[in-house]
Amino acid sequence: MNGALILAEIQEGQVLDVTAEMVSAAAAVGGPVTLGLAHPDPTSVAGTKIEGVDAIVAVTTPDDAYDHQIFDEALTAMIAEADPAAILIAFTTRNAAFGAALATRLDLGFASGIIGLRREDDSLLAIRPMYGGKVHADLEFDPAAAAVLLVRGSVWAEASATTETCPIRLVPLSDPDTRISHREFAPDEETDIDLTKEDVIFTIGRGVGSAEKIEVFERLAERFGAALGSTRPLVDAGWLPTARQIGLSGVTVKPALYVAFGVSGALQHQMGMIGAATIIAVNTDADAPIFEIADYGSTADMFEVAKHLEDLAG
Amino acid sequence: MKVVVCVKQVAELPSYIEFSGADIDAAYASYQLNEADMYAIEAGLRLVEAVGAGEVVVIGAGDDGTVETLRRAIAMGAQRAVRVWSDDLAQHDPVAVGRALADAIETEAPRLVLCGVQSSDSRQQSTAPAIGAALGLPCISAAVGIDVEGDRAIVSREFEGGRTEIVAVEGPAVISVHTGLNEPRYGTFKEKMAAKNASIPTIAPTRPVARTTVRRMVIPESTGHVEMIESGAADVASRIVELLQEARR
Repeated sequence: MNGALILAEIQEGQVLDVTAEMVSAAAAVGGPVTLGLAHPDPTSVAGTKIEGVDAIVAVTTPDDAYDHQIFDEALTAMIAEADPAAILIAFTTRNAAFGAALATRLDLGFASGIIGLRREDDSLLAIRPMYGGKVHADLEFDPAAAAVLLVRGSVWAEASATTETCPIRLVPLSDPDTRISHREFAPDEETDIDLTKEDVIFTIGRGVGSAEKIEVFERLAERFGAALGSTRPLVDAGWLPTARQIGLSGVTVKPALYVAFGVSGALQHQMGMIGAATIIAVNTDADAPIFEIADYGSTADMFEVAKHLEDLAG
Repeated sequence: MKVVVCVKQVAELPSYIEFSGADIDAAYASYQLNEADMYAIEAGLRLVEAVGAGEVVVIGAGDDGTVETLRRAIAMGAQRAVRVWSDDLAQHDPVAVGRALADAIETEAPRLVLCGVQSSDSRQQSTAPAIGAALGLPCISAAVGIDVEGDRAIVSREFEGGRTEIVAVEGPAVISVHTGLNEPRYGTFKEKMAAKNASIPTIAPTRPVARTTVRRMVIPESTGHVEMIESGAADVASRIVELLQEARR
């Protein structure tokens, strides 16, 4: 049991940035770093040459990127091959659907949503925000077993790309659990909203108070050529379509400017917008977590700010 | 149809707290039934009502305060409640909690096990998968729709960006439900009285202990760099316009 195994996040044949972030995070584990590829054609995956990766293990999977049962089984095979002390997985909905199951089944340590990893008196400690982020916990793991770590994105800097290639060791996938079977994907909502391509986003949160008042900010966004974004509670309430939801269960955006009106900034929301170049937040609650990540902040009333903005729009 | 719904007592913290050992001092926190769990209770009640027979049993793993949370679930209409607890239960480890809940669930042998997708204080989305693995049952996370047809459940589950997949599962399964799935009810006066008088047994977990422990908790040092604009709404609006111009330059 030595080193780290990192499950690469792959989308359309390309390794995503969070993978190189996990390679940086794995430095605290010590020992060799093994990259794990679970993909229908692992040798074709682009972006696997990352500085700090010592080996690659790959499992050829059926073409179903959403089936958590396959990833659970693929990781089980990779763990048997690499014998790591820590298994790093990106904290996504699909991965959270099996991470704790993997740890339970193999009797491993477990932590999710972690934002830090370090050594202290020879123990590996994982830092996890708790109680809505007001507290950070240092978690330690039984040294007799490996630990499954679901890692938050956009926390670590990406390890650089390299030109050196690692040989790929293919490990067979045993029969995955298939008790849950795919039927179909629900048709995507008819929408021309794509927040990921916007350079300015005005986002409203619970602070807006009621469905009727959303219009104020819709109009404002339109006048300033910004896109309107939302937090989950507004979508849950049926006030705005899912396509406008920013955060872990919504879209991840990286605009040049992000203006947050009445957004508390729960961790789940932060995960979808922390990559914005400039963040300005307006929230009457001075303790709101959004101010921890904002560049500019104000505790002014969001509707008053909106009124002044309308005047400025002329 | 018997449905078990797993619930959690979640903490909300004020701006000032103190610690007691490797956890917060509970005296500073206020506790309530986790929001997503209310949607799970509502989903369970509707499934049982649709069949016209059966019961909803709520199970929670936690200290004495959890009893109040379980009463709240009975007040919504659940028929019975069971608490799982021992002083050495690692409450912050979903694997330990999942195993502890699995003990109580196994005794009930329900048709389905429902959970909230995540707790509002911990947000790991991990208890349901841990329960599934502990019981050897399949687990579907983040459900936004559940239909039961005989031995089969048809579940819509939601991924990032609102992508929704419809899956089928045969036989007993664990399902975690998203907020927004339904409108949780408040419960009738009769149910509230029943909750007050309900006897809630406590059982001790028997499965192996956790491999993860909390060494300490701290208040994170502020990593913020926010520049607060103290001069009123008009100046905030002007700043937003300036930043807009800069962003488009």
